[in-house]
Amino acid sequence: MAQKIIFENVSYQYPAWGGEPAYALDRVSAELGYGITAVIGDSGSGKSTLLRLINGLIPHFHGGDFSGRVTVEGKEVVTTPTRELAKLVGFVFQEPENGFVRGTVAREVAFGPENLGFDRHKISAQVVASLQSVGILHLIDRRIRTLSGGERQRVAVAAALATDPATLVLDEPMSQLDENGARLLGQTLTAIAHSGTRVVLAEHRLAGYLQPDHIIGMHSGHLIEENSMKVVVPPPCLPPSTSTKLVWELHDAELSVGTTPLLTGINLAGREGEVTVITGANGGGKTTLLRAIGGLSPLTSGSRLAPDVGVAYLPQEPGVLLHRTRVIDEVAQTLKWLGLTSSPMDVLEILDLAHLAQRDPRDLSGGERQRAALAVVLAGQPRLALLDEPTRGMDEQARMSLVATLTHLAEHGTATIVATHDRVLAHQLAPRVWKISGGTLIPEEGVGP
Amino acid sequence: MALLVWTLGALLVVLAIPDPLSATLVTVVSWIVLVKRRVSERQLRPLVVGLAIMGFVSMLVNGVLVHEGATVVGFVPTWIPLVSGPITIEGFLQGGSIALTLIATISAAATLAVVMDPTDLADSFPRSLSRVGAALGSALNLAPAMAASYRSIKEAQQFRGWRPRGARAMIDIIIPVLLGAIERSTQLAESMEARGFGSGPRSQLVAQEPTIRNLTGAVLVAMCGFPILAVHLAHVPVLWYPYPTPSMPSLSPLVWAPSVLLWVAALVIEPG
Repeated sequence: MAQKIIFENVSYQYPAWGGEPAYALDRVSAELGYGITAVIGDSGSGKSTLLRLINGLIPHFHGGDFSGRVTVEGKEVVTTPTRELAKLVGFVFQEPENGFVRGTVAREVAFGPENLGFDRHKISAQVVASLQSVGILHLIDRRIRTLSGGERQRVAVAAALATDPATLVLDEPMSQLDENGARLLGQTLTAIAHSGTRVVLAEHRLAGYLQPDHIIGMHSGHLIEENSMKVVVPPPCLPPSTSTKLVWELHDAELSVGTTPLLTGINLAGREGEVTVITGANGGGKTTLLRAIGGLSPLTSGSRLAPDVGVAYLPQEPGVLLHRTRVIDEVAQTLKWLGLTSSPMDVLEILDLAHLAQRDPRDLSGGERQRAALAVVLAGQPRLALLDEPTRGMDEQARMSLVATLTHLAEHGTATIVATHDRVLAHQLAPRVWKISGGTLIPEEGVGP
Repeated sequence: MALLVWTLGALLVVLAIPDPLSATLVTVVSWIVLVKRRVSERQLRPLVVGLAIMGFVSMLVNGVLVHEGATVVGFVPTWIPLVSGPITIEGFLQGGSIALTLIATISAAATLAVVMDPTDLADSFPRSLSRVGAALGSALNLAPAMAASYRSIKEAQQFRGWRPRGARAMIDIIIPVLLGAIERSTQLAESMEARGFGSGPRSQLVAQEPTIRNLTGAVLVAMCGFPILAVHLAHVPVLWYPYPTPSMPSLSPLVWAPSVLLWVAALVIEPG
């Protein structure tokens, strides 16, 4: 009889550090067979919590109140340490960059097999095979700190595959991948599911990249009936800017690191209320271009025009903006630093985030954290907004909310530049986007999902 | 592992025998090790500049502030508070001696810090200690991660309107950096646990099998302990003072023997 992953009447509460305890999972029962199982649901619905039960990080690592029973391949999770379950379950985290242990790609991918005592020849073969399966064998000797966000995410997937697990669990593995990367990962996961490995993943971006065999829907810690992937593609909704006033410009810009040119011949400008979308492959230079416009990376040659004040910057990692114990306090801090008297609650209401005002940013899901970080940087009604992968970890509803926010900003004259691999977002924001390829910008008309 | 042992040995020699001759020998051999390991000029340049500035400042500060010594070359006027008094050759020489010890210490430490990425420290340990190495390497990796986090947070806060106005303003950067480090170390521990760290005997992709040359080098480094012990048992003066007039540093073989052993070990150990 084929082994399964079985959840029996599982309820779980994270440790409440002074806050009000709430169920992250409430009386969940499910059986996961072989093939690909997609766990879908809104941000904060309990997807990551459910995934962490499979390798025992909950309750072993996180503590909290657990009741019910979870068995993985016949082993009871509560009585089996996570390090033992690691022999059966490979796990890819939502923010893999914080979990890297080693300096180079090859050594990072080898870390799991080394821990499990594989012999040297097998480790070597597993490293090559797993890097090949996610399409980054050419990065094998690179230092991890030199990789882009998307490349790092692929390294994390390869590292989980390298132990040859019976079950592979992935928490939003596509959130940072470009289109090719997401498609390749979809093909890889389909192939490994066909080879007999069970794949369980939580992901907002599945449609078009992966056809799951089973779908588990979640809402507020409960399982809900869900048997299809929803694909919502609203028409482009941002009207073109009618302003003639230039807010920012790069003219004949070139940027190099040492003697290596990263960007060449960049000519691009944005007017008041105009949204400029920049796409391109992982590691192609989207972040570098955004930083150049913001003045964070000095140009090697050419000229730059941008406002001295009133520039908002959302980095890829929202955690660098969220340190206080309540979201509203972070927004208030931005307003204070900018010398503005607006109410932080008004800012959150405009961004449809009033319900997160009193929450601790550390307790939010990935998508909620991203939205909170947006509120923090956009609080001052900036003249120029630079957003680096703003939909990372966001569900469909949050994406719609982001588009509404950017529409609001555009109506008030903010020029916005969005660097994203998210083609649905690009489609929603602008009829024409700019793609970075080989260090230069190429216009792409009629981008669709 | 051999390089780790060598670096620890060199640090021990500098700290146990802070004599100018010994410090000079350790400095020179440390730089030979750095060059042998083909460390790029780009990595070495800031180190050279830093050491030169430190040496100059040490000599200058000691020369101006310390008014001991017989060979007076000038006077700081009495109307300049705190530093007024005679300026002596011996004051500068003492500043140079302190600088030599500091330069030797930093150069010895650089043989490991510049040559080896902290995350690769695990590879320096023999198989039986590889778990210790992996844990230590991961912990040390938090330092560069904190430096990167400091830069990212400072950039992000500046866009929000934060300005570096005094020490109080730095709290808005330092506290997030520390909180981020705690959060990152938790996530790192979670990741290591999920990947089976500690589940049983580890293997290594790149196993560090000890070679005869490296073992010989490690033994030579260990032998430095004997003359160091003898120096202290025999009360050989290892602290050199130029006051009241400069004298020759001790030429006792016990003082320079550890440095010579380090030289031989550096030549024996494989360049890696």
